[in-house]
This record gives sequence, structure tokens and C-alpha cells, in this order.
Amino acid sequence: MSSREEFLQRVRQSLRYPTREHGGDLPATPIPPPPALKDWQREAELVRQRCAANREALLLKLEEMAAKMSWHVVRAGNPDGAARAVADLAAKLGATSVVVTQHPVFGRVAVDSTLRQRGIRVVPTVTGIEGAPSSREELRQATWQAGLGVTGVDYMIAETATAVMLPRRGVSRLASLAPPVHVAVVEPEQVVETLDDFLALRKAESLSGADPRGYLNLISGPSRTGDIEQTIVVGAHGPREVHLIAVW
Amino acid sequence: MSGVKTHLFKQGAGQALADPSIQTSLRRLAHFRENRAAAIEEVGHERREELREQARQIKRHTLEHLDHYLETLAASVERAGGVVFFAKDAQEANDYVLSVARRRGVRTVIKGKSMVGEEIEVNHALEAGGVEPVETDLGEYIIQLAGETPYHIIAPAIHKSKEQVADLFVEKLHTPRQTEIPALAGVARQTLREKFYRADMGITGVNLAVAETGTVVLVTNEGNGRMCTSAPRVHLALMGMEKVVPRLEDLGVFLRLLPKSATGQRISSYVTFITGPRRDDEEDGPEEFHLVVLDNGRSRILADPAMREALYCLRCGACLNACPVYQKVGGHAYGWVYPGPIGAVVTPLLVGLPRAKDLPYASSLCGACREVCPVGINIPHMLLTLRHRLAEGQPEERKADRRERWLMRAWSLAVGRPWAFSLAGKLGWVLLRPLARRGKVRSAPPPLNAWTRSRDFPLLAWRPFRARWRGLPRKSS
Repeated sequence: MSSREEFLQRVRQSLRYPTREHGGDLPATPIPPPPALKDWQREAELVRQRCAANREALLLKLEEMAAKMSWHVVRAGNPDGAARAVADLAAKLGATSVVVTQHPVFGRVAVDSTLRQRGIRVVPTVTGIEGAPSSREELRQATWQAGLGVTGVDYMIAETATAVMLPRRGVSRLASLAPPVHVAVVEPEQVVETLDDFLALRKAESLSGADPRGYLNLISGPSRTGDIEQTIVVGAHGPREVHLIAVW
Repeated sequence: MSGVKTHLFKQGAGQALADPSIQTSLRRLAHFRENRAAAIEEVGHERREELREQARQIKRHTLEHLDHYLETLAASVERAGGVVFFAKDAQEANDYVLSVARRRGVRTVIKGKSMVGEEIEVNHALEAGGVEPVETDLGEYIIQLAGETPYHIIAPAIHKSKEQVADLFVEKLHTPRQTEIPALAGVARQTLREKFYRADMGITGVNLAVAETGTVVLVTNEGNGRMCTSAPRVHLALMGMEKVVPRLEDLGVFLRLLPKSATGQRISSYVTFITGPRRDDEEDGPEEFHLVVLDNGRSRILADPAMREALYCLRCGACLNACPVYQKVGGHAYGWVYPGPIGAVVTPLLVGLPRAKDLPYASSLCGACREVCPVGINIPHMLLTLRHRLAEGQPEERKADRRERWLMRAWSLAVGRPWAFSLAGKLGWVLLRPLARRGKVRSAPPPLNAWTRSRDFPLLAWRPFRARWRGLPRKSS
């Protein structure tokens, strides 16, 4: 018997598993059947509709909570304003190089060109395209040395001011972590109300047969520690400052 | 389990009580209590009860079908390209960790905080195998430098003052002495950044694991957990087998309860969902993902109907902060990785009741632990059950000696007969009278000094209450 089988066998014995072969009863609470894709697609659709219908209130709720969770919130008004806000911040920080992830939002918010106009080096988080690091090692080094990391978000949870980033090409794990300051650019359509809304959307995605692999992060404010004398210090190992640039 | 010192509870407790610096540190637990109370206030008590009940139902169901959900979890992790290893005990788990490290030529391992890692002493195993383990959670880093074990489930170095940390950094890291807390955190950040950049392998714990998707969830604040799962080539996660939940949507209730109970946060700074190794299209992240699922005595708890609830534990530490005993004797007295009320239950079950006889008595049974527990574990009742086993259980579990049994038998004879009870009271008065000063016995001869060593014994009254009661004037109703 493999060690796995032995392990599971021990668990079954501990439960005195009431299998029919042993003449036992069935377990008290039955295992629910696998979830149906269409139910969760419907659930996800309801979440989207509800959030769209309450958009204005949700954005206000998000801004209020973001301030409580130590995000610096900038209401940029429009895409150009958002790009300017990112560049202003980079200049204020004296950052000479900024790492920017590949996200559809940057097709609308021209962060790259605005930064370059101000003479700041832009590092895209992909390899093998023009203007990008030539190898993963080079990208890693550049990310580690960048003064600022700029990312889009895929969902923004209003109730806890949580930015969610899903895995895909060009979404670096380190861009929102290694630089001392992180900027997340958020559009109104990305805002959902609760953690459970996000989980419902994610569930629908996971059932629809997409690549199961992936690394996603829920980020709710700066990195912090209270490990010495229970005194909160920001910027433990991740960013000491986080900014939310709202494209509305 | 070379690090088990559970038989030294009384000695450890005495040392902590006599150490003013530790007592000062323990008073800081008040921050945790206040923050937690404020967080619960914000969600409202009714909603909190609702969440707690949902959490209990999920835990109960999952444990009833643990074999099924562990099999599902393993299949899902493998579908996502990860490798799953089921370890019967610490030895098997450590052997596996070391085999992965060897195969990948790993020299340095960066570690996120993991109570299971502490339980199996994976650092010792790595060092013995020629691999350098580096703790990266600030609290864990401090205690690793000091060569100690964690003092608290979520605040491992809570017993250290900033001056002690400052001295430790000067001695071990040879950095200029800093005494401000942000500067000390800065020293750790600088030192560890180099390690993050160079390490070959990351080892983390697991807060929750989702069976249906094979997703491992980490709940952290510092960002070191994200580093350990982003920077190195290999990521290995260690989990106790009870950490599995069935479905993605089950996470909601636990992600709400855990940070509120632990630190009083609405949500922790980072919640990370890890499903397998990095995708082909990602530019960073580990090439390999391993999940080690550990039993190490947990199946015994599962098989013990009176104790199964102990496996609901989320390791939030709220019961430690609320416990009047932990608040005075601190974490090291308990003699193993899990201190406080939950430790007093889990430790005897995992290391064996005869080795940890004092722990079930390290409680006033006030019930504060159960009250603050995010999954409502009935810790006081379990402690009573363990005490019952120590008194009346199997001979190898029994703690009570012949003298105590004789005394208890005499007591039960006396309380069952009014004349004997009354006589014993008078006899007690006669015997204690010469020892009493101002109505209290402060030190008695053996064997009664076992009582008076740590508390006074009030002198029995010559005329007992029931006699005075009879003499009291009655009001007619």
C-alpha cells in the first residue's frame, strides 16, 4: 500500500468510516454533488448586475474604506488624469525606474508614455518584446531595484478596500511586492461589493474550465508588522506605501 | 519531538511569573484583546454568531468526510501541476522536504511562518541535511536568532522587549545598535531582502486549502509569505490535514473570522491563493509546487469523539490573549509549540497525556477561550474531560496518586453524611486554628503546603453558615 493509501486508510479508521461493506450507516451529512456551472454563471451574473446598479454608492464606500485601510486614494477623474497622477507620484518619490505590469487598463491609461516623457525608465513585466528586459533574470533584477511598482487590478472589493490581481501573462508576482511603493490603477467596472461577490465570480471562472493554475493576491493596504512590542510598523517586507488611483 | 518540555510546566510558569520583563510583555496582549473587541463590535455580535455557526458547520462536515476531501484536494493540486505528499509523522514530512531540497540542489530555504513547521522541527532537519533555513516573519526571525521557540501562535516574539531585540541584532547581525522599533524592523527588512533574492526554495504554512480547486491560501501581513511563494524556484507548503475546506465559497466565512480574531483586522494585508506552480505565461514564481499534508497524531484526535472539535482550530491565537493563565505564565511554560488554552487541549492529545499531565489543569475554566474562539471550540469542556481521564481513565493516563484518591474518597464520605460533614468542619477548625493568623493559614505543614505554597487557606468557621442560617430571622412573604 502506498503511503498515501495508508494515510487515508488511517483517516477512515479514525472516522470509523460507515461504509456499507462494514454494515455501518451512511455519514450524517452527505457530501454535496459537484457544483453546476450554469448555476454559478447565473450567480456571477447577478453579482455583476447588482454591482452595476449600485455603482455610485459602491465607489463612495470603496473610497471611504480605502482611506481606513491606509491606501492613499487619488480620484483622477479620467484616464489622462490617472496617468498624470502615477507620473506625479513617481517624480515625487524620485524614482528613476518604474515597473509596470501588462494589464488592459494601461491601454486606456497611458502610464508608460507619460512616465517616459518625464525621463523615467519604464520596465514592463514581460520578456522578449521591444523595450522589455531580455530575460527573466534581468526582469527580476529590474523589479527588485525599481522605485515604484504600477499594476492594474482585476477586482476591487469595496467592503475591505481589497485589490485583487489574477494571474496572466505580464502580471508579475513581484511588481506589487518588491518595490517600496505600489500603485494600483482601478476602474469603476472592477469594483464589487463583498468578498463573497469576488468568490462567486472566481467560482464561475474556475468551473468554466480555465487553466486551474495560478497565483492570485488580495491586497488590502501596505505591508505591516506588529511583531516587536505590538507596535505597528509599515513596510515590513512589502511596500510601505500603497496608492489607489481611481479612474473616475 | 525532541523539543517537548511539557513535563516542566510548573517550573516554566514559575520562571515567567518571577520575570518582570516577561510580565511587562504579556501585559501588551491587551492590544490584541482591544483590537479584536473593536473588530467584533464593527461586524456586530449577531452577525459574528452567524459566521461562527457557519464555520462550525463547514468544519464539522469536512472532518466527517476528511478522507474524501483530502483525496479531492490531492487530485486538484495534481491537476494544477503540483505534487502532494501525505506524511504520517514529523520524520516522514522532514525526509520529504529534505529530498526535494537535495534534488533541486537547494542551499538556502526562506521560510514563512508555519506552526506545522515548528511542530515537526523542520529547521533542525534542514540544518542536519546541510541546508540553511531562514525564518522571514519578523517575530520568527527574532526567535530563530535567539535560538528559541515561538511564544505565541501569531506573535512569536511577543516576550521580547525592543531593547532585547536590539541587543540580539547587534550580537547576531553585527549591525549598529538601533532601539526604535521602525529602525529594528528596517534592519530585518534589509538583511532578509538579500536572502529573498538569492534563496532557492520557499517553505510556508497553509491557513486554508480548498479541496475542489487545489488552492492553498495564506493569510499574512508582512509580505514575507508572498516573497517565499514568488521569488524562489521551488515552493513547498506544509499543512495539518485538518486545514482543508471543501469549496471555494467556503473561504468567505474563514477569511472574515480569522483576521478579526487574530489581530482585529477587517482583513489581513495579504491573502494569497496559490494553485500549483507558476503558469507558463507568468514571468516569475516557482517552477515546482509541493504540498505536504501532515497527520502526526491528528487522526487520533479525529478518532476521539469528545476531542474532534479541537481540529476546528484556525490557529488565530485569540484564546491565548483571553486566557488569564496564559496572560501570566506566557507561552514557553506550556513546553511545546501550541500554548494557551488550545495548547492545553491539543498538546496532550498530540504528545500523549502522560507527558503533559499539568496542562489540562492550567486553566481556571472561566470560559473566556470558548467565548472568543472564532469556531466556538468548547475548550473548557475538553479540559475537564482530560482531567477526568487523568483521574479516572486508563492506568497509563492516570495522574492522581494514592494520597489524592484517598483524600477524595474521604471527602465523598463526608459530604454524603451531615453528621460526618459537621464533625469534619469542627475537626478542621481545631487543627487549623493554631496555624492561622488573622483568619488565614499562610503556610501549612506537608502535605497541605502544596496548597499554601501558592495561596492562603481561610480558617474554617466554628459556627458554619448552615447553623447561622437556621438562626436568622425570616421575613414572611
